[in-house]
Amino acid sequence: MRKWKLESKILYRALKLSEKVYDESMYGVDDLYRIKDIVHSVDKNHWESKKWLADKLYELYGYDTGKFYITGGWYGMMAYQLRQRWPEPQLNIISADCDPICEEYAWELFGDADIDFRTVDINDEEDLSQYSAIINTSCEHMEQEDLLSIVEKKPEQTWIAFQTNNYIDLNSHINCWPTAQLFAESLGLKYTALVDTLQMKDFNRFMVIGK
Amino acid sequence: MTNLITVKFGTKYGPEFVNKIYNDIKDQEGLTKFYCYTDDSNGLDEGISVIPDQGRPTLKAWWNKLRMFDKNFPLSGDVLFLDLDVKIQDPKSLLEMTYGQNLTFINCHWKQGKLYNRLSNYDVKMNSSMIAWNADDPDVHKIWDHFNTGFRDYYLRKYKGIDRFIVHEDFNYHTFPNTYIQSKKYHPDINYDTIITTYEEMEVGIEDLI
Repeated sequence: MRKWKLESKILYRALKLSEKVYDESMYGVDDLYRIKDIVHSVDKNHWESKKWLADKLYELYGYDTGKFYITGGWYGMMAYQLRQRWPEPQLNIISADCDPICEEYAWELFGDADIDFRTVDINDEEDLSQYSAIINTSCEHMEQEDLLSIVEKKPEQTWIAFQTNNYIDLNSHINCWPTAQLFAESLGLKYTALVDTLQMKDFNRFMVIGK
Repeated sequence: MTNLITVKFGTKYGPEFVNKIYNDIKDQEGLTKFYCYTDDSNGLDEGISVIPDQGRPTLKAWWNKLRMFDKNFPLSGDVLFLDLDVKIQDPKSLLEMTYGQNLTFINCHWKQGKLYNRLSNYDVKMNSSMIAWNADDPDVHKIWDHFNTGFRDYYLRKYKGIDRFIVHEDFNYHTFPNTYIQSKKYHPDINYDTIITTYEEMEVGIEDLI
């Protein structure tokens, strides 16, 4: 795996975005928690785990064209890591999240990275036929039923790259798994190319890539 | 006449906590029906009406309390909710309380000091150990509807519980008179008769509630 490196350009934008949220809290919408959320989204854990996915998918995918769809894309770090690996413009990257603020802030953080940020609930995406890979690094936040629905609706040749974890102590983590293997089995993929674990400081992150 | 409901999800509290509250209140004239909203009804007394897990969205711990405000939740009329770490001191008065049909929570008058007013910690001076409301009130249903937008996961990260969500998402509510409630942690000794004692923020066993 490539060594991860925090990039000062992105961190600077995160700082400026935090300043904007603070200013907004003085005169408009008071939502200071967004500052913590933004910082969290660019911290070492997320940088490393999303780079891990990009690296492994790059090894397996084998093309420089296609259309990647990220669901639960948050503020865009996953999409950015994929773009670092696939700088070619013929590889389209869409990063979707049901939280509309994610789209707004993702444009501010990664607006020059040729990524299409959108506000979409994955359950409203009926047609997945156009995507060559569907990526989700926040499976712990999603209903298992929705993950299975993605697997069921996608074309046979579309790649799946999913991550979850075993960090059960957070109330927003509604779909954790004890091992990578059990998570892989739960998805019922026809072809599994990779099942792996990344040990973080306090928990394990699991990744499954397949079709 | 009032319905009384408890919520039991997970394994922190066993069925004996629900049964204790039920047995303390079941013979009171003002009680319409006693409900328990739970993912595991094993061990609950027969007289308790079980409301099974209502399914998605999957919620953990105390966030399941918010589900009671869903307009499709199988409740109607006046409702009183009690946390499982609450001891009923005066069951008759509990059902005779006059709070109208307004959404009503506990006033944490014991929370004093600047800490609770800081913008960034989202702490609040009310709590939901006891809640009264009318289950047919559309304003109450708006709380659940507001929760279930694209922001739901963000709310789960931002707020430590439903109290903070309700206050900081600007929903209106009333509070019970202070003397109705004793906080065992913050007011261990009181010189007035109270209706309930809450053991919030304390480790509590069933023996503490007897």
